[in-house]
Amino acid sequence: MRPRLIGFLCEWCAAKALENMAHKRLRLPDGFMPLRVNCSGAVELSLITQALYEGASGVLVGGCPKGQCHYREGNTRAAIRLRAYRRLLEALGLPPDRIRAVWVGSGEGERLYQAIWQFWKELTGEASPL
Amino acid sequence: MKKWKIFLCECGGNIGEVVDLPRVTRELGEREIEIFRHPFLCSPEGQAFFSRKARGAKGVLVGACAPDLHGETFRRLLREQGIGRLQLAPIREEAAWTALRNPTEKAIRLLRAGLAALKQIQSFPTRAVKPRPTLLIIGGGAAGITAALKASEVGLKVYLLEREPFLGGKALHLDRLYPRLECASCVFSPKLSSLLRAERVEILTRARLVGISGHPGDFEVEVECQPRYVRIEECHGCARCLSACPVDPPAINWPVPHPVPRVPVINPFRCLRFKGQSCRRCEKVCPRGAIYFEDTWSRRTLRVGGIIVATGFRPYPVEKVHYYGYGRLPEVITLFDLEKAFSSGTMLSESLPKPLERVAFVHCAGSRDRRHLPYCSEICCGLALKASLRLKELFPRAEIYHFYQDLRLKGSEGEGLYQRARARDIKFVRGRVAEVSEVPWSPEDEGRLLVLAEDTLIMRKIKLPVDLVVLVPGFVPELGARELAALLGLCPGEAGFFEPRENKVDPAETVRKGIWLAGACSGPKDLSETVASAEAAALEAANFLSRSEILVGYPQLEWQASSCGKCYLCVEVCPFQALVPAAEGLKVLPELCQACGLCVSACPSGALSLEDCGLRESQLRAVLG
Repeated sequence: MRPRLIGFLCEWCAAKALENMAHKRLRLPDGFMPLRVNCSGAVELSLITQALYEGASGVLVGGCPKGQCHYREGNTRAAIRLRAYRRLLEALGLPPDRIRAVWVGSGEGERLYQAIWQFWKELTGEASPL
Repeated sequence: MKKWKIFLCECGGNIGEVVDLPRVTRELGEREIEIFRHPFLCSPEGQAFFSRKARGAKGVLVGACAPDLHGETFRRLLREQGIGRLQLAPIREEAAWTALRNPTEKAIRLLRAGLAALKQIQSFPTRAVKPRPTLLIIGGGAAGITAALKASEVGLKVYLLEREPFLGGKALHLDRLYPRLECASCVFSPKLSSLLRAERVEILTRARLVGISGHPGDFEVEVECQPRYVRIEECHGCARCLSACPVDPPAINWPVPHPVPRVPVINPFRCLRFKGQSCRRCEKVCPRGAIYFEDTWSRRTLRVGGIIVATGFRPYPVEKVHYYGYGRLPEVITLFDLEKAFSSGTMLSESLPKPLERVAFVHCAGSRDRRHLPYCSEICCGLALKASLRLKELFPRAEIYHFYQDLRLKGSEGEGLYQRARARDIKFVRGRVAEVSEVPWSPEDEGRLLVLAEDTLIMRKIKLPVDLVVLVPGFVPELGARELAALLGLCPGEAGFFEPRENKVDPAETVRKGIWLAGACSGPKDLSETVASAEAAALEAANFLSRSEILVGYPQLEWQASSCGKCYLCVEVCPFQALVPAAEGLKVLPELCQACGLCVSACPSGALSLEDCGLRESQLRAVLG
């Protein structure tokens, strides 16, 4: 089941958006593996590195919409860190596009769906069945 | 020997028919693992099965639905058995319902990840707290008032926060109620007056929430109050000041039909004294000395056990639908302007140049439209029909047209209303109005409005000259809902309405414990639905706050002095100021820590650790392996 896309989804918004999407029975690529975290800001960069190192084709970090973080500024921190991390990847000569962030509210299942398929398409060329 | 136990729920075919559970069982089977399957793990029978089979387990993994749905049930059942280690793998949402080709494979990986985490977690750390029997209600509309009354009846102390100077919200401006056309104030004002008599209810008007800290059961909230310039405790509502004011209309006033509290408010932008003049007529006539020009903005800190959010909705600003001309053409009004005119008793005919011969109700003004509101607000059709019947009572000669897309009237009474409207010769045209124009089609209609539409039932274009256009907008969340959502950490949905924890089974609860939703802040609701949801929220709150103790998660942030480089990046990133530099290096204030893990991910030397964060590496390995 390669390629594999890891989604670190915050349990307050992005994981809820995934549930919202599930209620609409929207289908995601089989390689997409969601992992629930308590906050997008709690995702250590070393964890993302590990994910890429162990064979993930891409890492998607999903958090609450800007300014709506359950922990006040977790998603803002995550956004800053991911930006810096992408620059680091670029400096190392690695493709920075393998890291992406998406900020969705709990009811925005369709936006998350679009974001995941968009990312998946860029990684693998396989487009959404819809 | 104690074993790990995995419970797989078939969810009545939702999982069982999509995921090959026998294969899952084969693949996950190990010597130390026992696997059970049940068609409905959440049913009473399934719960009994779960308790029976879980006995003596080292830890339990449940592969079922989303953790918010039944996680609490499983956790409770395990606590009764003295088992603290529980991990949930939502294979229904994450595999069965969303996997494109191979749900079984995905479910196996998710369960492996869950198992990897389960083997590492310690028992769920909690501490018992006695909740404070006080409740904060944000929003003093129909929902807030109902919830306040119900909560005070069961003995809770209630703070009722209202942004406006008077309570009542939108319901105050209603004239008649859908669908029986009974008088709104006869139904609603007894509630208002019983609120004033209610014990243990403290009303804070012109107030808003500015800060919150603490945990469920004991929140500390900061409230900011705008000055009223009249002392509420002194004033007895004689209204002499209103007639003494030299400004017309008076700068000291109560501009609503049923002012509660019955204490006027001074508008500092109109009052002569605030414009630098020496007028103090209201102060002189007041027999109680209640006028207080030196009043200032103030802040208060309240300790409450729980919060009910009842911020409500507002009609969509139809100015944005520019082709309907609202705000530009004086004869184009909204349903709410009409309702206000009815309830305040100002006859429409006075403000209109011509007698009303023909009125057009334009339904779905901005609703079900990708450019404006992509959803249907459900209640506006009924409100429009009700208003048109009332208009027909007042102007029996007027011809009334409804331009609708679909009439969505609820229940038998809604249908009855429609039949009554037909019987009164109110006309219905199915089709969206393209434009409301002031340019007449024929010269004799000079001065009237022209409604351009299409009747999609007879497939013909319609050009109808009318005297009054009533736009029926949908609903959006009240102003400030987004800011409140940010403060309380509630996740609004796409439309901005707050999302309940679970739409069907927990409509009053939010993702945050100790915060509940009442009324139209979670979606457009009519008065009866609002009252029902407010009562539900009050019940949830009373149930939660009257418990002898509640368990709150006790964050276990650990700091290792030996690896700390004393950069204090953690102190800088902590959003809750729970970390402070100390003589020995760092001090963690557990009562402020929310266990978000921001400091853990920021720490460059790995000196901080939170139990939860350590699980992820093994989970990652499990899904990638």
